[in-house]
Amino acid sequence: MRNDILRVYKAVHTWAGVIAALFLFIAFYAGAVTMFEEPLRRWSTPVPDFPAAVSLEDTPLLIEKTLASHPEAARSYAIQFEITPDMPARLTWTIRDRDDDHATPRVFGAALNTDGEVWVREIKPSPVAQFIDTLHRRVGLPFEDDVSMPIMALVSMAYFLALVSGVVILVPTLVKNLLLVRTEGRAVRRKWLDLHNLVGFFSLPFHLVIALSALVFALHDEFYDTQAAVVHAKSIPGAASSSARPPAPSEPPAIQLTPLELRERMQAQAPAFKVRRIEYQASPGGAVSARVMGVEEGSMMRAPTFGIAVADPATGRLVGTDYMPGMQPAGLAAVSAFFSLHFGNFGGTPIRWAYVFFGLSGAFLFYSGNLLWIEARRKRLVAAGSPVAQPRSVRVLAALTVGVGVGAMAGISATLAAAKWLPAGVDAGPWHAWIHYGMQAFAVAWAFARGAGRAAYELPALCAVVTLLIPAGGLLAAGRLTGAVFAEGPGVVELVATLAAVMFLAMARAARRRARSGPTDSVWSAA
Amino acid sequence: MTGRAMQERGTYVPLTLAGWPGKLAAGIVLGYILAIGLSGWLVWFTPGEAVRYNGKHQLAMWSVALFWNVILTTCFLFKNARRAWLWLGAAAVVCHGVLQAARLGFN
Repeated sequence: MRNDILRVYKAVHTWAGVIAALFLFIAFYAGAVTMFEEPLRRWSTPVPDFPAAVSLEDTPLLIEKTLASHPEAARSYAIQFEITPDMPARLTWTIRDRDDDHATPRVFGAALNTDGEVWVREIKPSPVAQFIDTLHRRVGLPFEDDVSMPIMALVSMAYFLALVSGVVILVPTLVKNLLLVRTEGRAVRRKWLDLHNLVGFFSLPFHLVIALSALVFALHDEFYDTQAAVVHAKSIPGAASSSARPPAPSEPPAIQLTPLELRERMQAQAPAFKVRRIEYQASPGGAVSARVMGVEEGSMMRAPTFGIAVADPATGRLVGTDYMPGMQPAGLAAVSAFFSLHFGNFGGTPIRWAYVFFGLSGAFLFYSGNLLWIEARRKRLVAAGSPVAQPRSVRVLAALTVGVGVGAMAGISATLAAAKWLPAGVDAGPWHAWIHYGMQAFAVAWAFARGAGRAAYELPALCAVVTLLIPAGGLLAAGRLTGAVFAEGPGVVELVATLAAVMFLAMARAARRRARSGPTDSVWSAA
Repeated sequence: MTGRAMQERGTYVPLTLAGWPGKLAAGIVLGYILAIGLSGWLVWFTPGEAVRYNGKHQLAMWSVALFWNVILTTCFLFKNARRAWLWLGAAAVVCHGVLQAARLGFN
């Protein structure tokens, strides 16, 4: 390839990468954590003050009594087949604030007390898992979607640009150098470059899918609106898909199957589809539809943790399979594949762990990219003894890289730990936001105040300590000192957090060794 | 033809990053318009009918992201910003002309 084109793409790669890297680092690290959003929500939610969930056999009675005493639930309610601390009731319904789209919907659950009377409470799962998910979607920005999403779109386009230009500049030396990792000699930069290329090249398909789907997630409404105006037929056929609006029976069904019966009919039609939840919706005319949320192990699913089928609540017949794993028409299956490849939900727990690894390797890609930018602009020692001041741009990006990157990891650890440390009964939502962004802001300020060289080992050490608060909080909660009771004692979450803390400590040690005994003509030196 | 050979014939001006803001703007603005047009070609010139939120309707929306991104990666290959605007603009005009003709014809 022509050298001038390579030079242009090298510049594009450098600048697109350096602009997007810090946002992407947060998005990928938080995204890795959200691979286990549901288990984290169960882990972080105290056992609520709820009577035992009504059995599936008695659920029809619960529905009848609840709808009689709480008619507001009749329009739309759900039956849960999995009872967990964050969803402790068999029957739930959601009330949305019509005036405020941003308000968190309120979820209510119904149970029967020992006298057989309806007992209703608001269900408040811990918001921390959702907070980290939102942080992921907003690439770490503390703004609402209307501000964050356009920025996320630009970041994802810079990301795509960096991926393609990175491949273009790698191609000429690809065959010769791909598996070569030069660890010897003085040129440490070569080692980072070789690792950056190796990781980037081998995770390229993953990154292309993420970059493309992130742009769609950010701007799908805008794309649809533009296409409705200038692309599609003036009256596009089909008011709604069968999932959004199933064919309405002309009269309300005289007999409705019980949830248990409906699940049995579903299993007869789709044995691999494991029902998690059924949502009943009543139209103003009284017709009822049933959306069935379920999992099919090993299938690609449209939502992060379930696929959706629509069934006739009177007969149990499947009437909508647009988003049902394994039953979708080809076009929608192709669309769901993109969702599923973004969510990593197509192979159970092993694939989720693989996605954690992909997410972390992505974060490494962006971090190492910034290190290479810094190293390329490093001012070297000319004569022994005379100190070298690094350029301002280098000092700023080094401090930002350490402060934003390590600060985000410390913030996520701190806010996760807080789920078990916060006293019972407080409104945890704002606390989780303040703790995360407080830690993030502190880390950035620290990195600028102390310089990147020192912050590069001090902040990972802090991150390790903060991460150890997670297992400590688990033990504390097991001892019930916070007043909140959790379903499980210390377990996998605490174990993983402890391992993460060990890794943060290892990072701190390596960076300290570099700062104290590495070459002094570098922004990473603290000698 | 290699760059050196072109250079010897006196026609070769090496590509540089000069004018990148204009090239980038063309890639973003005209790239979006062209991507929407190309997604329309998918809708009208491939088999099947786009029904609201069916597979074709959703895939056509996804294709906008792909086309837009790919066009963006090529915008730095133009010799200067003016050429980027001219070529991408011309492509957008042709693409949307054909699209609107098809759209009105089918309606």
